[in-house]
Amino acid sequence: MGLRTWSWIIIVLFALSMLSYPTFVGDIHGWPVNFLLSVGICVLYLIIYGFFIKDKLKRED
Amino acid sequence: MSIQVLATYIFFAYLAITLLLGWWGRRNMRGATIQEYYTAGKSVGPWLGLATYAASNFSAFTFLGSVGIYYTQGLGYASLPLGQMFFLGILFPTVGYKIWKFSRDPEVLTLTDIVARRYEEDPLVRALFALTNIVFMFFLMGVQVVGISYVIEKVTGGIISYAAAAFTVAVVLIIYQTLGGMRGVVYTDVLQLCVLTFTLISVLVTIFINFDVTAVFQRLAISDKAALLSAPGPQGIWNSTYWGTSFVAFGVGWFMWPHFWSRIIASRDKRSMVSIPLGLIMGMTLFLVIITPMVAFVAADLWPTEEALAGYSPDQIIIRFMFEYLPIPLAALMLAGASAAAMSTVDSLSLVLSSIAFHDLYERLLGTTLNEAQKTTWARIVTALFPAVATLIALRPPGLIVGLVIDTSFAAFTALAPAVILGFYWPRATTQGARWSISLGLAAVLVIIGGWKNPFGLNVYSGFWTLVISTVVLVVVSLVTRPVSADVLRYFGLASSSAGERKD
Repeated sequence: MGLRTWSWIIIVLFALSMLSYPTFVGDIHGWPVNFLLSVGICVLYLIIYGFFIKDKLKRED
Repeated sequence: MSIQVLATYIFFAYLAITLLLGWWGRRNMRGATIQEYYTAGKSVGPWLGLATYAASNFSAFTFLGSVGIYYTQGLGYASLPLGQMFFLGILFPTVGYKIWKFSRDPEVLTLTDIVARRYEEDPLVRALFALTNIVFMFFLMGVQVVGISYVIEKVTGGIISYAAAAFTVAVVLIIYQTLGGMRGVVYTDVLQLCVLTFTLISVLVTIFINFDVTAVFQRLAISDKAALLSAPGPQGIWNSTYWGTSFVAFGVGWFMWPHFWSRIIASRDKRSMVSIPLGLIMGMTLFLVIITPMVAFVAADLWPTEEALAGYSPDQIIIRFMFEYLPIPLAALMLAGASAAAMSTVDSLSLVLSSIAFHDLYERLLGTTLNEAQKTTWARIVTALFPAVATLIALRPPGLIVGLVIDTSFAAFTALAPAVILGFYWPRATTQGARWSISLGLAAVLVIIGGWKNPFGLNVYSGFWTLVISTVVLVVVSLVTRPVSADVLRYFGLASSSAGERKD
């Protein structure tokens, strides 16, 4: 994937995280959906950000 | 042995180890220069960089205050860690990398040096930038001392009084900081991060061992506390506008905090631009998005009212939780965890505020000339003064001023952000633009937090107003004032050599 794709994925996650708390209500198997969404977005962001930054540094080198 | 006595022993053992690490930092110093003292010779590797950045970030507030806020305001407070994480991810490889790159110049010790150079060594920009850092971070440092002293008194059952705790912590901080400078602080930060991480993970494991978390959430959802789990929260604060605007302002303002950029400047190579954000995103997810809200919600289920907290305030919930659910040695160790969280922030802040006061204001702004030996001696004295004065304030905290300054900590730093960020990327950003942007941004913070609480009834977070006002002012004033010289633009990579020659 190119830098542009990584950047778009991060922008989408950014938008999702901004919407996570105020927009989503209810629960999944008893757990609040906005809590699960926040945790899920953070973990996904961590993984994708790792790839993004690795890719960016590789290109700079 | 009672938990209070054990906690007292652990606390003193922990202080002894930090002193030892400070002494080790002193032994490893490479020469008696101010560069070495304040930035560890810009030789901090990626993993040490991550540890020191994270330890400085996770403060007494992470450990105690965030649980209290989740308990009283609900999940909306996740705006803080989420905003910080996302902006860290965006700003670190861009703005952070530029700070690191321009700090390779041996003359640069602080971000103020870089900003002042970008705005043609303007004394007003330097003074505004330096004073904002000192004023709005100093009381935050004092509050850490207040937090740690309360915890120590509580956990040791009064064996160590509030005043004795504040005094002891200040003495230990002063000794290891003046001995080892940044190197000593970095080494102690590694220990402090390990203790903090171990403590918080113990709490998470304890939650899963002792509670059916699904049942906790289900009970909360049908109780009086149901509002904790959805917008706008029990106090009605976290509606979409407030959440979105605080998300942005928390993220941008936080990145400008001085104890963070000082770690970027101290970094040896650009691998730190990978290790620091990745490690910090991981830590924030674990500590602030998972563990602290879970402690708060379990507490809301166990102790739903302030009366049920039985003498503990909401920000002391984690202490009660650990006393009641952790094995005694682990609960006693939490004292070291809380101390670690607070001390790692205070040491980082006092060192960087000392560098700003001594280097940016005394040395650069007043044009004082000293030799290296005199500089390091004065640097040590100024570094010792910050925790000393913060402790004096902690002994008699002036509530209103402290509260006001804490409220402004994120907001005030968003006033600096446009001058820094646009300064790196927009050639047209001018010195006049930076002057007015910072000044009016700070004025907006004081007006909004001081009196005009909710301008136009829009429920916009104060820091977001500041960010918008300082950005607009920077752009408008820059467009109508004289551009900075081509030499400066070339230095910052904002003009090609040929373009610069044409302008000259």
